[in-house]
Amino acid sequence: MNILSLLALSLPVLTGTIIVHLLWIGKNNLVELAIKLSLGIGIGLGISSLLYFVYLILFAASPYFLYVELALFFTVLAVIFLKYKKIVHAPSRRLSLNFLQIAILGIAGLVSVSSFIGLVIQSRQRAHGNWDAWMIYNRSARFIYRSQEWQDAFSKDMNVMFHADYPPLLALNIASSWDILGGETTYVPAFQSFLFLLASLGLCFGALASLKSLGQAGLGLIFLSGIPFFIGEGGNQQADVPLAFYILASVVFLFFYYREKRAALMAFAGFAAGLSAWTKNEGVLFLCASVGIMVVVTFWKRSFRDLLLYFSGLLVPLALILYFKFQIAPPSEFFSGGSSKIIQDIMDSSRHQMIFDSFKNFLLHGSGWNNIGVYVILCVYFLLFHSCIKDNRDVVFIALAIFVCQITGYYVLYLISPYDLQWHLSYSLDRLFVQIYPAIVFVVLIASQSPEKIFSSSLE
Amino acid sequence: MWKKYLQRFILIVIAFFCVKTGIESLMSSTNERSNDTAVVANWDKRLSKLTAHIPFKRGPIGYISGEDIPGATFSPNDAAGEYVLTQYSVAPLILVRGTDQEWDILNLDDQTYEKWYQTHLNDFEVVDFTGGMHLVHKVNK
Repeated sequence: MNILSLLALSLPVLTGTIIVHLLWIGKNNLVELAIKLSLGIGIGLGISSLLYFVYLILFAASPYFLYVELALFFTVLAVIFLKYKKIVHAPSRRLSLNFLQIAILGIAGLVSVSSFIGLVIQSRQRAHGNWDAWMIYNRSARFIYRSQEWQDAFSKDMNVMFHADYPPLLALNIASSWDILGGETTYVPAFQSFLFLLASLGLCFGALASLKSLGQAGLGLIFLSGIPFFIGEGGNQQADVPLAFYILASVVFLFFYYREKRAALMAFAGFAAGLSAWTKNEGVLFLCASVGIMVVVTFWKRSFRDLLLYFSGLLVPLALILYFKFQIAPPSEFFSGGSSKIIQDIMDSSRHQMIFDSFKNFLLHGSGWNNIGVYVILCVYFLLFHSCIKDNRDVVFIALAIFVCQITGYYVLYLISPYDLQWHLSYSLDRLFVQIYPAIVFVVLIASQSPEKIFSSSLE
Repeated sequence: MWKKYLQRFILIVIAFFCVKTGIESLMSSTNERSNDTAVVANWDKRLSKLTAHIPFKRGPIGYISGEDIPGATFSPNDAAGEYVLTQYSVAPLILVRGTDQEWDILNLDDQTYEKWYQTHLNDFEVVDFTGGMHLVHKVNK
């Protein structure tokens, strides 16, 4: 069943990789292959989930989803075959590594492999994932797979602690794979979890290698794999790492768009932002933050082209999110108390104090080394290593503005939280910062000097 | 020039800590022993035996545990965990707190169950019992 589970997830991954390759023909070197395969994992699983949602609406309880996936796969395969005939590829560049790059990549490989093996060993002992995985995503998958009335997974009768309003990307992928396999297996959610983790590592590595240098890409891997708070989440079968992947993917596409000015890249940035909202409610926050910043940039530059391209990618996931939120999911518990309760919470200074203290404590001391917080380490790193930002100046500021909006949004969500605030902060704060960690590492490293420059023989 | 030496030093320190953390994660995972998989599988098995008696496959069923009975002793953490596990196991049935539904699961220790049963003797029949959980059917609607 384990190999079959991997095969069931491989089909959307292959389809996603081909779609990315179709719309973004490039140099075809190893680095680009890493980027496209990583993007293919997330984009493919995202498309598969959207497709399964539409399939359930139209043909609930029909066991033919495999044929839909196969039809999509062979269609994109046929398109790429026809397109390949006409495309003359730029000659691929051979990678030549110097000693420093070999050393950094060796260290990055050691850290990544040891952390990943540790994660696999841990996951084997928790086949059903962590608490939130049973409570939300795998529970929801069981509802969808076991009943013809799949909407019961999001029933308003469900106790609020099961978060029936959460977006369904993970649950739909698990249920569709079980549907294809003809039975439930814990390998599917576990493999899905690993795939999103590997995709995050691969995308950060590939994008940094392409936009900066191989040494910087190795450093990106070291920062992601050597910090347990990020990589440790990768085996929990929760939505934080998949969301982190889509946030990273959306930001990475923005960077590539500003470098290459290809319309497909901006559309992909919008699509990835849409999939982030299809993954978790904090993804809706990211979507709002991104769209808000893109609108500001549009008016600043007085050009609507970028925004239109962004929305063209966002359109399908956004339509399905709105349908899901307004037609299927129960209302969020965050707004259950009504506007008077929300205003009362916002005016409560003790809540501000508690949230501020928790944020401060986490940012200064959380999840780093020797009681120094990982975000402090990144901040010091940026201050010490930042380079004169020339190439990516606009997009660095756009990304930073999105992160500021996202963190402000986290603050506001805690402010209006209907739960015991102390419990809510201690239970979820570190996971919220996991969601933006890979994207922040990517932007910090893009805006910093590479190890190749730092270790260059000239010390001017 | 001093800045470049400092940067080199910092990069080496970061690499060192990340390697150390990666290896420590690997070591700690090999030493960790968790029985989560067995606990969930066991819970699934017990619940599937109980729910086999329920004549419908979807819809709401009732659930009570020690925290719903005044005066009963219970661990809040265990009670919350067992509630989540039970919902996970009985899907696509929806657990609704209380015994207002026609079919209900009672997750009570022996003493609390006896106390509950004495006061609801005429309203419910016990359909099945397994591993500390009772499935009851409302007879007096």
